[in-house]
Amino acid sequence: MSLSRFCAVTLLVVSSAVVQAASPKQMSVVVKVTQVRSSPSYLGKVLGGIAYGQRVDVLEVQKDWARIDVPSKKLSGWTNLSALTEKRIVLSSGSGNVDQSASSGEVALAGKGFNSQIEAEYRQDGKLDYGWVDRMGQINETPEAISAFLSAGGLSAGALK
Amino acid sequence: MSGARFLRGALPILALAAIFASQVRAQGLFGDLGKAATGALQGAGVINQNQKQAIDQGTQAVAKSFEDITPEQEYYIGRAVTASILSTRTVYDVRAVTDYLNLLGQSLALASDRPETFGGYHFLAVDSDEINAFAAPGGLILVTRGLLRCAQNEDEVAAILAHEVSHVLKQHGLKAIKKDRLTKAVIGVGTAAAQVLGPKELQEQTAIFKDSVGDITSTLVNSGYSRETEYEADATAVLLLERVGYDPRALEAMLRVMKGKLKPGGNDFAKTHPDPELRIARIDKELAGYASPRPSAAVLAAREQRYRAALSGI
Repeated sequence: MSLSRFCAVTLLVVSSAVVQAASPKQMSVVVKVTQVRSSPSYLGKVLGGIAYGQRVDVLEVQKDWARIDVPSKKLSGWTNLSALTEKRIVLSSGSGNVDQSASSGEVALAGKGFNSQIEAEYRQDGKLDYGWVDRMGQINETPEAISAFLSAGGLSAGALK
Repeated sequence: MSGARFLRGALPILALAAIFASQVRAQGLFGDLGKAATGALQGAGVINQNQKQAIDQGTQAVAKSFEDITPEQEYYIGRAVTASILSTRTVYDVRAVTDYLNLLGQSLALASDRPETFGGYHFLAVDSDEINAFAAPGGLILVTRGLLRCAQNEDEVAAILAHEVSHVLKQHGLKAIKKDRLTKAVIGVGTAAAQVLGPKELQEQTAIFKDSVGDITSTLVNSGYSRETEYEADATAVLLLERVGYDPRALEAMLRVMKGKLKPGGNDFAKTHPDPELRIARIDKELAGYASPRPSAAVLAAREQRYRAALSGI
């Protein structure tokens, strides 16, 4: 193989991998629940929620937002990319949303490592109080309240992703 | 072209491929590419067998480091770290304080480069005079009353929270976990995609989990992050403040107050953070030539009013 051909092949392999990574056809929700919005902003109207592990079709990407389609829920709109992963997520049995189509050869994020089963075992020692941890996780300000807070303080609501 | 000439010509590309593969987070193709590249470099006599192994292991270590901890796992680690810290501390349960911290903190988080974590960002004040804060992986953030007293206005409270949010963004907590634990934790469960652990595996994984939580908690409470890690959190906080419209210099102002309040030998930021003077000097460099925003009197009054309403009794 000549040097020029080798260079071309190497660059082609690397660049095609990068392009493939940058514009995936399908992604999975990687947070507990994320909202689908009418526009690519946290100020966009919420059209519905999608849960951890849900596979979505990515139609378009604008900066930090993906325009997605969830055919099974008849839901389309914008979701922040920080809530999505290119990997397929296989949920542990009993989680209520097991993706039966996933094989062991696919990348599985859940069901491995530290999960609810491990936490339950960890809490057996009885010395830890998760009461405030659970309460803390429930404290959620709405995007509307956050937008109003920023506006009243002369801050940039446009800074929200 | 002879084999030697070909390799000489191809070396820069192979070297670049090896570096690229070691830096890119994705595995699979890039991991294989990296190994192929190091193999070629070794074959060409550029590196020896030991160096090849070191590079391959380095690439592998990255693949099995904190970056492989999923957001779900990060969430469970963060919950355990927070539970551990709260086992010896009391929450300052005042609704106005909690609401204010969460409005302000979640505003900053939504403007950050990682607005969504598995369980979201949540903030609580801790009823303690010590000057301290704890940002657990995933976004559970605790701030003591003592630290909040170092803030003289809303911009300075924002500076405190922006620094803590930055620790979460940059996953500094996860980086405190010893690498050998992660190797066992992430890949040690087996190859089956989804499974419920058997008793022995459950015990082993829980032990690794406990040790990982211990690594982070010990870092947050006792040893602290490295200076560079704290400087990175400061630099990220400054960017975040600027993005939202707060005065990035508020972080320096808060640190000056902190400097006056910290007691040498104290069991708080005096132990776990660089001297505020050093942090101020670094922030000064970041902000060289930067002009602070000049909000109107009405805007300043609005911020002052809600700051006092929430934190006057802190």
